Amino acid sequence: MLRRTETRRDALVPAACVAVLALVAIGAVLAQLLPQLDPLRADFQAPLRPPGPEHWFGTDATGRDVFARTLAGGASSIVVAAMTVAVGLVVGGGLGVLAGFARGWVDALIGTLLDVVLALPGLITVMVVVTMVGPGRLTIGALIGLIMVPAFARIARSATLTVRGQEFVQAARIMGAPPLRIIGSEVVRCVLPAVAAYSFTAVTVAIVAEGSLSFLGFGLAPPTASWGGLIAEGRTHIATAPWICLAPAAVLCATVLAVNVLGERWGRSRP
Amino acid sequence: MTRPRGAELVVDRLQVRYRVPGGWIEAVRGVSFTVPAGRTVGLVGESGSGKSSLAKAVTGLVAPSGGSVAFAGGPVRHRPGPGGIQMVFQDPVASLHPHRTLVDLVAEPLRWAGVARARRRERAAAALADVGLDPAVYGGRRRHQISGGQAQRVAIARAALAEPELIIADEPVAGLDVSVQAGVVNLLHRAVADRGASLLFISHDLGVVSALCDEVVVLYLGRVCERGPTESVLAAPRHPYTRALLDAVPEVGRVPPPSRLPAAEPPSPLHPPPGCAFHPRCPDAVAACRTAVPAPRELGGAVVSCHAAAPQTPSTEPVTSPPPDRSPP
Repeated sequence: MLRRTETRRDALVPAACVAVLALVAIGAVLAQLLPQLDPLRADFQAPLRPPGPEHWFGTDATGRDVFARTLAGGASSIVVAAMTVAVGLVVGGGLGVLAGFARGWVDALIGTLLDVVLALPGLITVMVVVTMVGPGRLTIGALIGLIMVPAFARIARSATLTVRGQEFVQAARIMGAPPLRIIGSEVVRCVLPAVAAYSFTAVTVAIVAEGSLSFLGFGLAPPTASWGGLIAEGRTHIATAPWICLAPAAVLCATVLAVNVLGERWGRSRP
Repeated sequence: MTRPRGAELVVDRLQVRYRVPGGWIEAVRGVSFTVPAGRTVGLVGESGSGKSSLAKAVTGLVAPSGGSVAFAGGPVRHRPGPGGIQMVFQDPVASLHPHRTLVDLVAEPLRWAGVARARRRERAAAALADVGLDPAVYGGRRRHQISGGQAQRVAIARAALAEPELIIADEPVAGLDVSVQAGVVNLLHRAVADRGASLLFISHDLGVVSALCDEVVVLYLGRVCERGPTESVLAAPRHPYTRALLDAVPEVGRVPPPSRLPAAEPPSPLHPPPGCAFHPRCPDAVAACRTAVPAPRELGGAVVSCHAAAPQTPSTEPVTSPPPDRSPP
């Protein structure tokens, strides 16, 4: 009995998480395509409407549909998270594999570089750079990715050190495989699962960081919709129209939770 | 040092050491021997004697801290194509890439040598069949789907397909079931004998070595005790350590006699005893053993490093010349 309920939950929870993420992704795409879901279309006759059949998540102070804006905010989060993971995987993973494989002075140099990045206060650094170069989804994603490079690099380095000492890598060396080919075909395939598992964490960090930045006004500039920005806009009406804040906040939490749960499952399924 | 001919492996006063917390481990302390082209040499010693470090230094996986390794007249290089050195590892499963199929694993040396995919798969399938694994059944499997003995067959097929002049086998059967050991040793023998390649067979099992090898090198705490043709070393061992190893080989109908060695455990390689490293356990130790490293000298066809070893014919040989591997005190 206990086992049966456990098995059912084991299958249900990831399915629910995948469903949440799929809805966010589909909504983000639809928000770009359907004119009914234009996040900028304001209905000045209907400001601050509570959720109902016409406006599922209600409307904001200028009569814009909160549902449409939340979906569009999802698109921003997806772009930022994808950019973060791309930068983290390529730069951090690359540096980590290089450090772990080459060792010696290369390892020491990369380690020092990563320590410097770690010493930077993350969000403040991003704010300063955004102020200088201007906001943008890709800029913010890349900056959050750069802040996360040390974490990616350390995971990749330790996984590389483990793989490097294994006998199949030594065998490849003796067989005359060039070092770059060994990294490409022998090491990366074994390091990738560990780094990929961390990508889930990076996605959640990116979503929360982008939300925080936009909330503070250093993220995506209006009128670009962003969950953090929506929450900030709704703050002034929280007593009278709480849905403006709560809808994007709830979707943000659900998304982060879903990514975390899936990431944990992924990590657990791989030794 | 004589100039090596052909694909001879010449190991000359080789030293390997590792930094560990609290000092250095001198794993190999001046080892010299040769593996002549087409011959099979057994390297024998207990765990901690430096066998694996020696193998790694010879294959170029670790850099020696002293001495030299020469193969076919030059330094050891890792280059694809025939004529090089290949290695067969102690843990056969670990020596195979976890994600590749057996056919692709065996084909690896050809891949690095730039042989076309279809052609190398064809040859790899034939090589798998050569070691008794039906390519139709096993070709698509991965390393976790086969047994240790089968994995070692795959590793031998792979090493043989590279057409090396020398195969170094580091304890290739130590981790396998006794029932499959003989089959693996036979395959290894065939892999080198078919093409006149040479074999450096590293083992702690004097029984296997005596059956397989033309020559034997006995290692103790990073130094050579005794080396020479297998038959003369085994028939008349000069070094007390070789005698102890031989006494410990069990035979059908004979229980090995109680060890003559006073201390059962070998000393730590972190703090090797001064003089002859074997003297704390040696039943024949004399005063000189505690202070002076014994020089290698010829005795009845073998080379023995022992102060107490008596020549077969009572000829007086000087033992005073300092050994080449001896570091100044």
